[in-house]
Amino acid sequence: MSQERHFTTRRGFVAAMGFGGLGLYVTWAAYGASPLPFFSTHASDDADAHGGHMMRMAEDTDHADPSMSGMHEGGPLSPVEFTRRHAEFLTRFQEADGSVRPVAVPAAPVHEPDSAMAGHDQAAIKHGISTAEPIEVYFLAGRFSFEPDRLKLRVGQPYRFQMMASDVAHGASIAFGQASRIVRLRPDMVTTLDLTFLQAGTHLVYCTVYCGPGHDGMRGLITVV
Amino acid sequence: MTEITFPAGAANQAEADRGPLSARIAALPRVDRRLLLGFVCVSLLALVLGLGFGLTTALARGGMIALDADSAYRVLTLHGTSAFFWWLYLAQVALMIGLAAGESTEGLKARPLIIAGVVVLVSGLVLSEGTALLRTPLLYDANPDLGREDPRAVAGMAGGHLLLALGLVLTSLAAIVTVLRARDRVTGAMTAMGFGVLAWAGFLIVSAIAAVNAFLPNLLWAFGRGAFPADAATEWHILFHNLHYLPLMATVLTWYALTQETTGTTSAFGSGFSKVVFSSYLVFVPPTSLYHMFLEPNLAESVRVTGSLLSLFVSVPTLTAFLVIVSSLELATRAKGTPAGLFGWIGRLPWGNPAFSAMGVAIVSTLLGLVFAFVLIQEKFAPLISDTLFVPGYFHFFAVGAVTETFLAGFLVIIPALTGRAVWQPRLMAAMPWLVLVGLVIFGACGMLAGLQGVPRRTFDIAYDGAAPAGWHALMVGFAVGAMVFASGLAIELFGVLRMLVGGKRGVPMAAMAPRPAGVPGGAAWTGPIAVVLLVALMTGATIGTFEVMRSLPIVVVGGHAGH
Repeated sequence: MSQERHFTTRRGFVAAMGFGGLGLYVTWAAYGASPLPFFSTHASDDADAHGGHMMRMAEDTDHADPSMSGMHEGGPLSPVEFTRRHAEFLTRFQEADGSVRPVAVPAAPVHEPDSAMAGHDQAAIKHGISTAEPIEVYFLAGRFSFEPDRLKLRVGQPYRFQMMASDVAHGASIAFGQASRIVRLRPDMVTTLDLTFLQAGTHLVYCTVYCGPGHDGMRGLITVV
Repeated sequence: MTEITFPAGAANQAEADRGPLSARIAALPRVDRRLLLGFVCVSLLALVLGLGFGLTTALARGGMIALDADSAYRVLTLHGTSAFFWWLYLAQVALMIGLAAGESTEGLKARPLIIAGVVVLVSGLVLSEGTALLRTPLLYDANPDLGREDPRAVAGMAGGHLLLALGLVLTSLAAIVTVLRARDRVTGAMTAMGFGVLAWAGFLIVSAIAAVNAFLPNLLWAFGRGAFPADAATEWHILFHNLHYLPLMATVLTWYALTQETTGTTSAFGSGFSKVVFSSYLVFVPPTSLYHMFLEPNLAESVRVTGSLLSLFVSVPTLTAFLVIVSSLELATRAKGTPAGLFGWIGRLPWGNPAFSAMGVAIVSTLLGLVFAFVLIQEKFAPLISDTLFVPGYFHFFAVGAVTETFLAGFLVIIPALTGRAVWQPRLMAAMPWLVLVGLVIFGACGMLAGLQGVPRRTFDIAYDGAAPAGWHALMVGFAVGAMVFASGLAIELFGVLRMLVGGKRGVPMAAMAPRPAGVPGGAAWTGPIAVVLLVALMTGATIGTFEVMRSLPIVVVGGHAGH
């Protein structure tokens, strides 16, 4: 009789295997989504300008170019300022049929890429994304509707969505058929998101946070042409 | 192959010498057996309610029954409150008290605390259910934002949750006193199970404090005695993480007890190692809570990074406990001369025993749940799947397949010992957990696919007047069919359990195996490690698939920052 254990029955082996879930870090790193820089891949100039690419852009732009970070110079919008601009936005861009079609006013200045953004701009041009400054869109969620509830946007044009909930927490999800993109909105907290649609189509927008008995009817449409 | 034996530790030997849990429960004083039966009965009532309201919810979501908005969200509130809060916690109390009592030859200590606990918990259950039934539906998290116009609803829901917290503290204190007094009088040594109960009760008390932190401000506001709880969402997130890992810790402890009871196998890794594993829940679970907040717009980037990193550690205690149990079972079963091959030993396990069968399904369901839970912890996926049907799609593998099946397995051991009634239709009862698993796979697959496509988690009418993507409805029908299948299996199991309480045949309990004396024959134990490798491979596949879905979106997104 031997007292020696097979390695699979050693406590150290079992304890180490208990950390098996950490193996997923490698996959995260391969997609540039690891929380630490270890083994993480970096955004290449030729990266896809899709949902996956968004993360790298977000990471880079947060530090490289404040104009693309989604934050305003001088800090985020206050709820009061948001409310004022939202009202102005609706007045300026609302069309006869009630939909809202935001356009650049005045014409966007030519964007001079700095070295840190040069790669992204090349990738953007390759994918048909305008390198112009994003057009501001003010989007308000309240019981039980979005305002505006019909938006008309252009393919390839960057839009800076400034969003806020007016009463209770809401969600805003854009349906793309195969998947959706969700934002959670808190009352009196302005959330900024830069969006560029790459294809034409009509997308349902709907609330994803239960907000009361009218929640199921809280929806809107984004038409991209 | 060399035959290897491990030296018996004193604590392992002590555990082996005590005899089966069912025999120890049967020998409890009459008053303790009645108290235990009381907890079992009240928890089963909560399960009946949770299951009924849950099935109604799924059928309504699948378009098979029509509910107006108020009724639909009321039913959803009742489902979450009954199942998540009351069933999972009352059943934990029943099992914790049962296991604590099983540690002592003299029965429960601090009975007045337990009796007070019964009164408080039953009052809380009535208050919660009554409020959810009669007032504005706030969903199970009792969101005060939704009850600004109905403070009584906020008061009732918060009051119910606070009574649950108080009841947990009272009963946990009694369990702690019981296991501390049950220690070896000479050495002061405690069995692994005694230590596990101690850790479990401690975690319950910590969570009860978190519940007070989350719900007391709501209650005070509702009574006009405090400001509106603007931080309610954050406090809920902190509590919620503990709330759904506590049942998992309870599940693992119950597996530990059931493994001994149904197979006679004690841990091949020693009592001390089991204690380390049990206490690791306290180390790994609280710090990993941040991933629930990834979709919050005001979450600091540093918190997001830390949360994403820590979330990888969340499965460490459960995977380690899984390995201890599976490897111990493999070693013990192989020692009986089972067929050669990597997995031949599995067929020799007592699958005809309903308690073991339910535990086996629970283990499989836990692994399935982990595959998809690890998709959800990646913070980049939060804008893709948080707040979608992906979440209930995966967590029912835990809530129903893992935890509920395990708790019912525990009851299948405890109730016959308390009532002297035999298990009803053992073959049928052993088969039902597998039917539940089949239903869960359908429910989970359809729910998670729907969630990936963006179907919101808490919306009943997802047609949006024809504007919804075409595939959503079919997935919702599959979701409802899966719910019907697993609810049917669960209902039959519940009926069987109730028959052991009322009207069942008198008879001996299912044969409990005498715990095998320590000194488990050795050899290799590959099944557990292979399962973990397979699990990581499946997690990787699911994660890659989700990354690819995200990359396919025809949109470029930057930011998601918030201020104020």
